[in-house]
Amino acid sequence: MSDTKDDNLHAQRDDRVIEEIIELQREFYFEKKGRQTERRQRLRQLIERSIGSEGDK
Amino acid sequence: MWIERLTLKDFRCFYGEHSLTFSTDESRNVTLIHAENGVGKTTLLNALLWCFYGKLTEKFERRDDLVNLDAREAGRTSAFVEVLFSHNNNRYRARRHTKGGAGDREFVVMRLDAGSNVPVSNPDMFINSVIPEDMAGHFLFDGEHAEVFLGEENRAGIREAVQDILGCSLVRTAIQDLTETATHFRRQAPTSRATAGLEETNRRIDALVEQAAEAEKARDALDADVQHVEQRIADIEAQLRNSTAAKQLQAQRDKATAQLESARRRKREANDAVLKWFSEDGRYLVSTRLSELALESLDQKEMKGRLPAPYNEELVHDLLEAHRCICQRELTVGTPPYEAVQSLLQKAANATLRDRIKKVQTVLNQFKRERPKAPGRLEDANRRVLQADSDIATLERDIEDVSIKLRGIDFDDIAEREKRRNELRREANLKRESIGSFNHRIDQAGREIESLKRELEQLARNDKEARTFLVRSNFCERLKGRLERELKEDERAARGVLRTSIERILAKTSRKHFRLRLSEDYSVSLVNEAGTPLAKSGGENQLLGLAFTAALVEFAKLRQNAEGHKLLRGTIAPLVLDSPFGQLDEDYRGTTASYVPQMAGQVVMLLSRSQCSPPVMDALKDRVGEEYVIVRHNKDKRESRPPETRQFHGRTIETARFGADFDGSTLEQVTQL
Repeated sequence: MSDTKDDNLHAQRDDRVIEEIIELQREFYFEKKGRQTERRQRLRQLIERSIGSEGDK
Repeated sequence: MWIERLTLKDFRCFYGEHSLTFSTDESRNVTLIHAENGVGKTTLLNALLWCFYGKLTEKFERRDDLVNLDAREAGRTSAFVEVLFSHNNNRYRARRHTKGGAGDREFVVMRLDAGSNVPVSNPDMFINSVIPEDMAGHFLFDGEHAEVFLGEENRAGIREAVQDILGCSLVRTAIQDLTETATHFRRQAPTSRATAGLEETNRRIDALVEQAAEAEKARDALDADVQHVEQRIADIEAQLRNSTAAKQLQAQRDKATAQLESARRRKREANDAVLKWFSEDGRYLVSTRLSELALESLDQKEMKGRLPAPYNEELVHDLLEAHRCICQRELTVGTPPYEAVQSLLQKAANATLRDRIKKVQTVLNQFKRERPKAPGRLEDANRRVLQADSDIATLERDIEDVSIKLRGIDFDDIAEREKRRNELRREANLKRESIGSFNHRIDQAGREIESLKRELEQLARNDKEARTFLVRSNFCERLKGRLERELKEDERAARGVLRTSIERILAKTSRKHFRLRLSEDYSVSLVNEAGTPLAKSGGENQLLGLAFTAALVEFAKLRQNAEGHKLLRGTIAPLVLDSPFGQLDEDYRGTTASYVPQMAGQVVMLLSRSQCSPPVMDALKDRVGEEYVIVRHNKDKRESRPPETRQFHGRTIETARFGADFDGSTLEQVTQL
């Protein structure tokens, strides 16, 4: 039961992070074309923020 | 988007300022531009691309030299292109200047609002929202675009086109970024005493990733070669099919080849059935004695009331808690009667035990039931393998006999063609073997990478910081995997829509009846009802290219209001076709020309004199809303050159003029009044 609950929480978090990643891509696609380094830097920050320091338990 | 007017000033071969008005009449939606080679057709096409996106087509020469030469000699240093267009009930004017031509802002878009011009704050973003840049190339079609779809050789190009129109740009870059970010985090995991070996393992992973990428590249190149060779084989077979002497033999071979394919499929299925038997049915026989004994023992114990025990756990607990036996004797803790009752708990039945026994009995009974049937299933599967093997051997012999007979036909060049076909077949087989070996290497590298990643996790187990980085890396890989799966699913749906559109378009325009095969790996072929690939003439290839473009345009329109945040919306845009009838014969040209106006809301066609054949002009006459001719001006004297003129609706236009003040082109309107 608790495994299913964890899976659901992970799936919800994945959905949210994917949505944020696409938003980031959209921002750079339309407004900041060609700024790959900055975009990837922002993606790293987004992943760090989403996963936290303890990781994916 | 509907384009109303294009204005060019000193842009490449256009000296001074010139305007071209496009037809916006839905019933006469074609704007026809007549132009001979070298007078500026490609420049007009590039003017639109450059104005909107600041880019030019790949084959546009002297890309940095956009200002007209005579204009520069006259002291002018910049050029511009302006496009007046409407979109979503608003009108806009987009203008791009060459560097230094208009102060700091090279590109501006103004919304024309009740007589005033309102600047659009982020013009690049705005244009991208009207027609995403990745989609633009498929509307502003430079003639060479069709080459992407010719034959079966350019799967990557076809895939890219489908992805472009599907609006995958955001997902594509997200996947690339997640790949890079996963690698970044993996490499960031620090090496410490606790994680010794991390660095070396990371290096090994990087090396394997590189090897796999190189192998994939080599495999894809070989794959394209095989497709090319297969197309040549299909061409030869078509020639043989059409030759009277070889017709019957080739028909015999076609039939045997189809049967061989079917026998090979049957063999694969039968082999699968044998394997399935070993994994599923084999156990019924292997465990015969064991299961018989187990079932017998269970039944006996059940009959004797030992298994499950005649008393259950709950009852014993109740007696111990009540301190009284069934026989009403008092049970005091620590006394022999209490301990005797307590010892019953070791054998007492409970709900879990009863459930387990039931399950074991069910499984053992299934074994008993299935056991007599199992050998028959294996025999049947083996019999099918043998039958398929025998059929394959016979059919291969038949096909070889046909080949020997074809080689023996001593007239025309049939024997030579047959010889060539066999050489090509051997070449294709060798290449396929190499592809297999590359695939094996790629799979092996993939497995090793996975195993090394597990090793990394083991190494990082003792170091919290290293573990954090690996968790981040794995997280990126997981998200990437999910996006890839979703993209694949979207592409599958897109291919289905495109395939249906192309088949419908080909049915309207082609004289042959065929089906389109657009496989998961994006190979495109035309096949007959039996699924045999058909050879395509140059014209049919061009027709297929046009049908593909039309299908992409149609799909983009279909997706203009698409929901969902991951994919960009489709769009409606004018379709610009440069010399679309190149290799088509007269009949195909007429049929295709009558279809072209239906390909998009607004169509612009650039045609040379040789393409304006009577069937084309006849098919277009009621659909042309605006018509122009590009006139070439030369400073040189005419001398002995013959006059170059063309007739348009009763007007004679000299299309190459000499003794002019400048070298360049102008646009003349020749629309029928």
